[in-house]
Amino acid sequence: MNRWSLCLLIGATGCALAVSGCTTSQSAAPDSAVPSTGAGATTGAQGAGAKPGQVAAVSNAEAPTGAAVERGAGAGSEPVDGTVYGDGVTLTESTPISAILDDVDAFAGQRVRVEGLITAVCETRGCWIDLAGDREFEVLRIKVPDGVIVFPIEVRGKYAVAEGIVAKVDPDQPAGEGLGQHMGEGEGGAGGSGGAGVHEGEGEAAGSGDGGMHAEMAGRTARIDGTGAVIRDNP
Amino acid sequence: MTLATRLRPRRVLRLLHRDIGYALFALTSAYAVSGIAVNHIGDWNPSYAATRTALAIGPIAAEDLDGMEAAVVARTGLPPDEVTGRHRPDPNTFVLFLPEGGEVRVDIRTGEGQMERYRPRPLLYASNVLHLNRLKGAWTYVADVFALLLLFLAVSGLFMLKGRTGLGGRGKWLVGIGVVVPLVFLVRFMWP
Repeated sequence: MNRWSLCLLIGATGCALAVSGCTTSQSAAPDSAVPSTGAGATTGAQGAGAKPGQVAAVSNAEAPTGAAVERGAGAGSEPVDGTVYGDGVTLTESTPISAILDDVDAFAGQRVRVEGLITAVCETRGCWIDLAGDREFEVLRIKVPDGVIVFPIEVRGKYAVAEGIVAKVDPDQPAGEGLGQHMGEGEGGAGGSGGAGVHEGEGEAAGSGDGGMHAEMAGRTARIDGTGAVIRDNP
Repeated sequence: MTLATRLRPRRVLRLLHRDIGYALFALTSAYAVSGIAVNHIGDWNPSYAATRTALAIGPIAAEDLDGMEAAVVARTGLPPDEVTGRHRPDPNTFVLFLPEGGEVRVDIRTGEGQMERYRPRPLLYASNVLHLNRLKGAWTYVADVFALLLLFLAVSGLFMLKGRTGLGGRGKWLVGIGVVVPLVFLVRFMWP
């Protein structure tokens, strides 16, 4: 190898090393539990009166098993630590998944922030995740545009804080339609195609973990068309 | 060789085509392999290989989550610290989450279930990360430069040679085939 080629090789390697440090896809923010702001406080976002965006700190959830999540209120916003996907999370207060599923019409079209244990991930394109609700046997699907946000399979079992627009889903929609399509094939919006959130225990449930089976959407009443999420190991 | 000879356009094109081709060999190969893998994404997971093991651990009598977890861990021989979370999707099913997206899913009435583990596919996982731009950030621009250089290779290839083997000779037929084949598919797709 002559001197010119050696210089070229060293220069290219050096540039690559320098530039690679600018890669910011996966934030290096250490996983940390969001500080608790007090026990017994109830969430400020419940039912039809929910106002996404109200400033409130998010307290630690209980064990990631779908148990009730307590929220602090009025303690100021806290940054959400974890790996950022898409636009991340901008709202400061989470809406309980049970509240959304109890009154989907009230939330349809609204931007909300939800959080919970990730129980399932799309194995094909990483285009959706299911979050366990605060009430037993409930999950809500966060659907994201194919290829824009890709959730790797290894996030299953981790904790996510996600944000997006609530979309109402026809629970009687035949399996394989709607959300069986990936988002690039037909936009989901309020009342759009596909299904994602349901009170489970009704036949097949998305928590089965077999992420490729979109047929499990039958019976769901809502989903969130996600714009971003922050995922970490623990609540 | 005179300067004029050295700087003849076709000669310069061939030299650049050759040297850029050398430089892009690795990434082009990675993108090509990844492209084939992702092209069949409906049939398989191009980045991860799943291992599924059937389980039969007997009915689980515990009614609380801690008890269910302890029973499943003990009966499957899992290291307790491997469990990253747990979930009950319905009253009859209990799920333990394992690292790297794995899980143990059990019907608590019968004890039958499945353990699922994922591992990244060697080389293919890395190729997909690059090809699908999972890295984001500065890699986006590196990939853009790579694409531009590929475009240069394509265009320079048209004009590198002259005569019978050049674009004016059999080259035009081969370019035509390369245009017509995708066009046919496009036309059938857009006007079925």
